[in-house]
Amino acid sequence: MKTVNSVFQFQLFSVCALVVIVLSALTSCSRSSRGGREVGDSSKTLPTAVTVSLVSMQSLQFLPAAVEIKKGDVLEWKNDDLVPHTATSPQFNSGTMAAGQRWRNTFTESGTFPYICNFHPQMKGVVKVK
Amino acid sequence: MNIHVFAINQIKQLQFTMARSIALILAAVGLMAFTTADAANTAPTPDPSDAEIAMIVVVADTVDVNYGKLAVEKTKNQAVKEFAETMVRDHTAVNEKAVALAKKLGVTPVASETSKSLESNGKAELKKLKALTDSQFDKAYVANEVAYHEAVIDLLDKTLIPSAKNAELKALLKTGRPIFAAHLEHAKMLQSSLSK
Repeated sequence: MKTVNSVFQFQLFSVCALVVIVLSALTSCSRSSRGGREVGDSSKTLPTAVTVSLVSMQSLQFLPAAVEIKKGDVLEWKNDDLVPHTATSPQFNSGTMAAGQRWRNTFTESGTFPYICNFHPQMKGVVKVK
Repeated sequence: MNIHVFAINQIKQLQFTMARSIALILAAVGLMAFTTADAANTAPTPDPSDAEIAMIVVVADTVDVNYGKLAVEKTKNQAVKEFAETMVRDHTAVNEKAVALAKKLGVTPVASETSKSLESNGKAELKKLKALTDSQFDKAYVANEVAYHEAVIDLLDKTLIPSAKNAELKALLKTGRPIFAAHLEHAKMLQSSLSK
């Protein structure tokens, strides 16, 4: 009888523990998604619609050479050439990008930012941030 | 008597005919010889194989890398130094791609008259450049870069790209072409600034 009680108590404990674990996991998920929304709603920290625009480096050119984006947007450069390049301006610098490499920059201020490839002076581009 | 005269006339006619035939034969032989020599001079060299093209690309890049390394070492002009560093960086990168592609395709680069000529001319030019200093060196190096890139672009357009059989090799050559053209423009810009 004593043994049966022990088994029952153990089973009850196990079920309770499981319920606690599941509830705690659900609460955690709920907090997390609420937190994500809050962060998402805050335009100062993370804009709701961040756009990633692309610039390809190929045949010693930036394609497209002129890009217009919104404040807070991200610009990604990809080196599709055989040779290394950079995307360099007083405001940003990718450093050396070998063939196939990518580099991103978030533009947090509006303005017009001309840039070049440090290795190939004839490679010129411009980013216009509205 | 008449018979004798007739015989002499016959012999003279025969001699004339023979002489004319010999002259014609000689003229024909001469014409043939001339035509053959002319054909040999103007006949296009046979199209290089992909293995020969791979070697030409490797040698052409290596020659320019060697010019660039010498310039980095010798020049005191910052613009020339930066250009030379770019030549070393870019031609090394293109060479790595060419070697990797040859390996992928299982092609062993094979020497040809073109690759041998590029190599020997490269060595001779390097020797000339080594003997120069300061602005004389800068001008000679940049002038050579202009001439060299023009020659390589010509080689790409007229021989290498049309002759390449493998699609990936042809694509690599086509991708390299605008890079060499941009190098040429860069070299011309530099040449113009050095002459001021």
